[in-house]
This record gives sequence, C-alpha cells and structure tokens, in this order.
Amino acid sequence: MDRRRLGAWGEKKAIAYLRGKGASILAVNFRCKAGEIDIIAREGSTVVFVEVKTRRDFVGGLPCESVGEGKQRRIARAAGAYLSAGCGDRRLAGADFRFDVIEVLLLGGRAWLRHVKGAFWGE
Amino acid sequence: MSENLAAGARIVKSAGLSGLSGFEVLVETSIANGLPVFLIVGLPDSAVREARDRVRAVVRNLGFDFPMKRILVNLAPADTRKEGPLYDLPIALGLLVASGQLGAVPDDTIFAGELSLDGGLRPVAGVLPMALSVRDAGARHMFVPADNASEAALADGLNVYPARHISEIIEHLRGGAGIAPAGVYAAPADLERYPDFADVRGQETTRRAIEVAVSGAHNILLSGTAGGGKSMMAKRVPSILPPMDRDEMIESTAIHSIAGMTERGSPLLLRRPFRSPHHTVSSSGMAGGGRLPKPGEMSLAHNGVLFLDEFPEFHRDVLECMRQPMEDGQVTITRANGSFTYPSRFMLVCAMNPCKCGWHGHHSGRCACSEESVRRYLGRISGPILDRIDIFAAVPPVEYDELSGGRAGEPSADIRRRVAAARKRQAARQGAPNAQLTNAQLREFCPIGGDGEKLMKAAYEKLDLSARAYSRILKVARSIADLSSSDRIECEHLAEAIQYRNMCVKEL
Repeated sequence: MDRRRLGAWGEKKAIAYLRGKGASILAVNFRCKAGEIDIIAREGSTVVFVEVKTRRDFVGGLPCESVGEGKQRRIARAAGAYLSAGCGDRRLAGADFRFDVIEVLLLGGRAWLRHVKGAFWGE
Repeated sequence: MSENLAAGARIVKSAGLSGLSGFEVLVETSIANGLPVFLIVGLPDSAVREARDRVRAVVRNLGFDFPMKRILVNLAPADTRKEGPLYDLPIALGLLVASGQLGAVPDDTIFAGELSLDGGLRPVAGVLPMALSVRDAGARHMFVPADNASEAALADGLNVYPARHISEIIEHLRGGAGIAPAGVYAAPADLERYPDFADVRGQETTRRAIEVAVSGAHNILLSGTAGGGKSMMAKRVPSILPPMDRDEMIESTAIHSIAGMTERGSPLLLRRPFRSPHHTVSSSGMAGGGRLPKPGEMSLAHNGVLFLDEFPEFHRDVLECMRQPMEDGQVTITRANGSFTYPSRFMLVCAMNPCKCGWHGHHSGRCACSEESVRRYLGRISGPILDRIDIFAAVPPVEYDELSGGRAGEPSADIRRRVAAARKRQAARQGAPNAQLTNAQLREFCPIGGDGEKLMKAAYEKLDLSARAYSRILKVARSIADLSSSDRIECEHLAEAIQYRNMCVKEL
C-alpha cells in the first residue's frame, strides 16, 4: 500500500469507527483555501473536527504527535471556514465544537484505533 | 448554569502593580459558543499568558469541567501591563464561576496566587504593596498563597485568607469549611541583631566621624589602606541609626516585596536595610530596571544604608544616575509604558583605598604607585557625587596595641542613644536631619560667633573652599553641636567640621 492509499484506508476505518459510535458524518475531506479537514462528524450536540493519522510503525513518534501547531491552526481555520460558508446546516449554530485526532495503526494486517478527544483548541 | 451564562462576563477581582502603587484588576471571563478557544487579553506578559495552560490543567485535574467553548478572559484595565503568574488563581476561579460550577464571588474580595498543576498555591512577588493599595481602594478580603499571608496581613484592616490549595478557597466560597483569616503579624522584639560597633577596636577618630555623619544623616566617605576596617565599620552603621517606625518598616518591606526578597516566616523588614552592591553593578541594577522596572539598589536601601565599597571603581554612569535620586529621595524610571517611581532615601557610605594598590600613605611604604597614578585614581571619582558627601574621614591603619589590647569598642547601643538625642533636637528645630537644611535654615539655625567667623575665613582662604563646601561645613558643625547638646555652634565644633573637609581638599 502506498502512502496515499494507506491514508484513505485509515480514514475509512475512522469513519466506520465514528459511525459505530452513533455519530453522523457531515463531511469527509473538506477542503478550502485555509486548509483541509479529514472528517467532520456530529456527536449529539457536538460537532467534531477530526484529523486522521495512519501509520504502520512508530518510527517518528506517535501519530498524533505529528499534528503540530501549524497543522492545528490550519484545521482550526478550515473549521471556521466550514462553519461560516454555510456548509453545515442551521442546527450547527448552538452546537459545541471539538477538535479530535484519531490515530489508525496498521499492525499485522489489523487496524488499531486511538481516539484523542479534544486533542487541541482552536487558538 | 444557564442563568450564569445569561449574565455574560463574570468578574473576579485581583490586583496589579505599577511601581510601588497597586491597582485593582478585574478578571472578566466570558464563555460563548464557537470554536473552542481560551484567550487571555488585557496586555498580559508571557507569564500571564501561560496561565492559560496551567489553569486548563488545574481545572481538569480537580475534576471540574473545562468547557470546550469560546472562552475569553479580559484583564481590565486593558491599557496597563499585567505581569507575573499571580492571575492563575483569579482566572481559574473566574472560569469556574462563568461555567456555573461555582457561585459568584463577592466583589470586595481580591485573589492572587500562582497555581501548581495539582492546584497548589505558590507564593508571588509584590503581595504587600498590592494588599495596601486594594485595601485603600475599598477591598475588605484577600485570598493569597499561605506563604504570602503574613506579608499581606501587614496591611491593617484587610482580612487576609491564607490557602495552600485552590480547593480550600473553593470550599470557603461555597460556605463549607472556612479559612481562618491570618492574624496580625507580631514583630519579634529583638532588634539588636545588627553587627555591633563593640567589635571594632581602635579607630576612635573614624568612629567619631561616623557618629557625626549618622546624627545629621550626612553622607560619608571613608578612605584608608586595605584592612583598616572600612567595610567592617560601614556594616555597623545601621546599628546606630534610630530604629525604623512601623510606617518605614512597611514601606521598606513593600519595596523588598516587589523585588521578591521578603522572608516568608518574618516578612516585615525590622532592621534598616544595608545594601552593598558590587562595584560592577550596572546603572539599571542601581536605579531599577526591567521592562516593568523592579526596584534597584538605591530603593532597596531606602530607609537604610547604601554602602559603595571601592568607590572609585564604580562606573561613572552608575554614579551619575544616583545624583537626582539622592536629591529627590526617589527614583523615577521612565519606560515606553509609563514611568515608575520608587522611594530612595538612604544614607550613603562610601569606602575607598587611597590609591590603586591600596597602600598609599601607609608607614610600611608598600605603595608602589606613582604620584601621577594616585592622582588619576582619585580623579576617577565623580565630582557631582562628591558634592553630595558631607564628611570625609581618613581611616588610619590600626596600631598593634589597640588590636591586642583587651578594651572592646563602645557598643552600638550607647552611640545610638547619643545619635537619637541629636536627631531629636534636629526634628524639634527644623523637622528634618541637618543634611537636609536649606540655605535659609542654615542662616537661621547655624549662626557662628565672631571667633567662628575668623576661623571660617581662614579656612576658606587657606583651603580654597567653594561656597558649597562652606555650607556643608556649617551643616556638619550643626550636627557636631547637636551631639554635644549645644544650641550654639562653637569654635571647636567648626574646627572639627573643617577637619572633615580638610582631608578631602588635600587628597581630592
């Protein structure tokens, strides 16, 4: 599997995981000038912006560690763009928001997931 | 919760410092819907901005909910810089109040303290001046870290609550187990902890010069070969100054508090400060410095003694920056964000060697300096500062007999009694020590008789004195007369005063 296919595979696993938890998926691979968001989901009254990191090993540290400050800022800006562009429906107005990271690890042909809730803030 | 949110921003009060004067800081917290951010605005410095991460950790670690919402903390007034970690506590409480996890706090209550990540409270600098200012602004209660409590409690009339952990404060505010207010700090009675003049053997003339200087608050320069006891005697000057009254103690303690130099167990500065900065001190070390200036050596020596050892070695710009403060009794430091004033009334004691090697004039003939080099060494001393020194005393080498003889020097307590009597006369006569006599007062209080006039005329011509030196001699003579309880300045008083000037003219 090359890098791009690995990433797409991880995102699919993460979406399946979120659906399994009862979340509804609002958007996948949302792109705008400010940046990109892998998954935008809704968990009850909370809208969650998810960054998915897929890896095959721990060379280079934990997957979530690679979501640095610059990446966080881009995601937060993209989230703002998503909300103001009216991509979401009106029900988002009173919602809470959260930034999560889901780590997907491909080890021995299996997917291992770790969900870091509230991984960072939009500041 | 919704009720709290509806009310908008929630306010918890804290305090800030600008120079020696404090002001109330309103910590306003607003929680709104939006992307989760936690922002602190209102000119915070980096220690304040880092409160964000400490508070976030503490609130979670205590088991409270940290709302994933748009949290805005404003430190008002927004145009004054806020410095230091003392806003950790009010920011954390403001967050709990604004998120409905704690009821509103009373608005006559001030909070200050740094948080450790488990919610413990760490001491902060400047608590005393803040406590004094917020009390004058109408606050009635103040919560501070336990280690700062006795210091804050020096502000009479303010209820100070010491806490070791933020949960104690939360419990108190919720009406649970209350924190007992800190008692008024009782100063220990033993003030006699200065080094004592009884340790100094011999050196009768220098001791006398120092006594005269202290009794009139004159600045003094001691000059002598190495090992003669200049520093030893200088260190003992505070022991013969009259003890500080409570206002002076509070004032000096407040200055030390800003510098973070108060002792936790006994915060009140009971003894007159003795500061002896090294001669490599910078001008901002001397006057006070930093972006939000901290008090320098001149202010730390306020109400006490500033001792400059190796006087000619001090940088010229350092000595130059002392001129105005010595004249005004206060230092004003101007920065882009305002000017800051700290008091700086101190007695200046300087010590110097007579030459570069330190042995000029010693009977052993060890001095290897040329006449030219001696002159150059003395020429380094800043003239304007010299102008502010009234008494020049030569410190001769100690004779062996004096050193080995069993007779101890006169104890400081006895000298202090004479000094106090002389100061009392001065206070009754002109309300200030003799060093601060104005020219008009000089004419009124320092008349010299016909013989005195003759003596002064001779000295004036023979020693080539300036007009300024003339009035200085009169002031010193006034102090000498006061020491011998004499209303008139007699010839002997004048002669002694001229002699303290004489040495200076010969050598400088």
